[in-house]
Amino acid sequence: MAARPHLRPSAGSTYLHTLQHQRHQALHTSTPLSKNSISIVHPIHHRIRYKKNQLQPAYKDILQTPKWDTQSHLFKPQYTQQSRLEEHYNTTIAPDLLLANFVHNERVIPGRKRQEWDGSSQYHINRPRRAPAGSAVETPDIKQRTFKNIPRLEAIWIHAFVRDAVRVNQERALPTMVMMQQITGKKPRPVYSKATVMTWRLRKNMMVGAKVKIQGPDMYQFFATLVEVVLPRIKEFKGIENTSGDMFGNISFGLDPADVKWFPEVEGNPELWPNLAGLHITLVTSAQTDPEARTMLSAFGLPFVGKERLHNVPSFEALEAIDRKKGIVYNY
Amino acid sequence: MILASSFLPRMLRTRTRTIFANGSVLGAANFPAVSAFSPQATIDVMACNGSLTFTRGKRSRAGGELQQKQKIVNMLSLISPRRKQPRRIKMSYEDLLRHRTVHRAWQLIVRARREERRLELQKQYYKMKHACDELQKASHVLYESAMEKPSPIRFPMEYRIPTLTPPRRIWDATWKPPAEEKKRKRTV
Repeated sequence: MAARPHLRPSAGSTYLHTLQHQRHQALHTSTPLSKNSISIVHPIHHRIRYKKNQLQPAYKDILQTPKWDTQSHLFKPQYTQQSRLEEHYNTTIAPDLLLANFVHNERVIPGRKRQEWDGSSQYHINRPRRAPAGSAVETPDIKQRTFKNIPRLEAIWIHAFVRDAVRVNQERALPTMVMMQQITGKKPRPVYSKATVMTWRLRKNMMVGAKVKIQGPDMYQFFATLVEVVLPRIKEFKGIENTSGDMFGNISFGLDPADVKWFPEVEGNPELWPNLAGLHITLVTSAQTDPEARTMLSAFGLPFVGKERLHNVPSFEALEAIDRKKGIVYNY
Repeated sequence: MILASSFLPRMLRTRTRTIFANGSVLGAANFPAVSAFSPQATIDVMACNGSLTFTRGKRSRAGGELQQKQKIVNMLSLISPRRKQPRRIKMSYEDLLRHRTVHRAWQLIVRARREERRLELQKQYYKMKHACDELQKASHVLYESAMEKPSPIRFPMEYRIPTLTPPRRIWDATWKPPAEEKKRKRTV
């Protein structure tokens, strides 16, 4: 079999035809095999796109070494130092969260799912399911909380909309973009407008902001700076609202332009940052509900204020009825 | 040297534009037909180490506008990965062997630690479960009392994340748990 190159396909590339091993196959016609006949097996051609230019020996070192190899030009050393928050989570917070969130003999709380037609009419056959009751979209089930699904911080999204980029000049979005790069260590992507609204002098495909997603040690570093340096310096900040959340464990809050200057990278040389926009920060967690996410984030020192918005949990009897219908019986 | 604004979705063309000393751009269409930051446009700025080059020796009357453009060029060069790629690590064969050995050993240690943590959590979970099962059989009243949970569950603010160096005030002997705040009407 011909060698398969492990390269990403791209436009304008040639096709490589690979041949399968010739198997003994009966002919599709019913002529019997005689001494002078041969069995012809038609080859099956698999097309793989590849750039022939990339296979030349000169590129072997550059293109065919994996990213994690130190000999690669894309190599980036990671975990050169301990991630303080991650270690604290693994050592202290996770076992405490397991205890805090533990519910004995917990039932699976079903989410809102698409409804099947009952079959009272013949036209119900193959009809697509109805929208969920009480919701536009399907919601996930709340699974049993075990040691395998302890809530943890997965990613942080930082997004900025720069109003001056619409009103004055698109270049006004750049300082905020550079600032985001400085505080996160990752290159942000620009955000373009999706619609044209004349009253706001907004056109489609204008660069109006930037966004960046951080994960891993970078994320914990940024979160530590936020909680320990930036948020305590903000006047009139008592905590994040308890009502903030998307129902399934992701908490969002914002920073004003005045608050953003408390980041050490900006505070160190304020004359370089004259016009900065505020930020929207979304903490993406693996918690199944908002209260769980808040519990986890409070362990890192993030305060919350306001009335708690609890996740609506059906009563014990209702859950039992649902399980009985499915045939699930809990023996206590 | 072309300064690549790599945040544009489309690949750059090789056509370059020159910026004159007075800030006007050669061959540029007027706003809004060609905007430097639209995803369909190509922004190619002749830059040399982040500074502008002049094709004609005209003195600038509007120096401020030029400085502004210089600032923008500087910001774009900060975002772009141009000339910021670290040098490729070249190791001799022996050094490579040493690196691989150390890397593998460290990965084994990390894996062992991860497994240890997972086992600890598993043991903890099953111990809690069995304890609750036993309590349920023993006494219903005690079981119900034990199953009560505060709502909402919050870790205390004094739950300090460890640091390399100790805090300025290591121990506060006069600390008392904060009293529960009375419910106040929101004025805002």
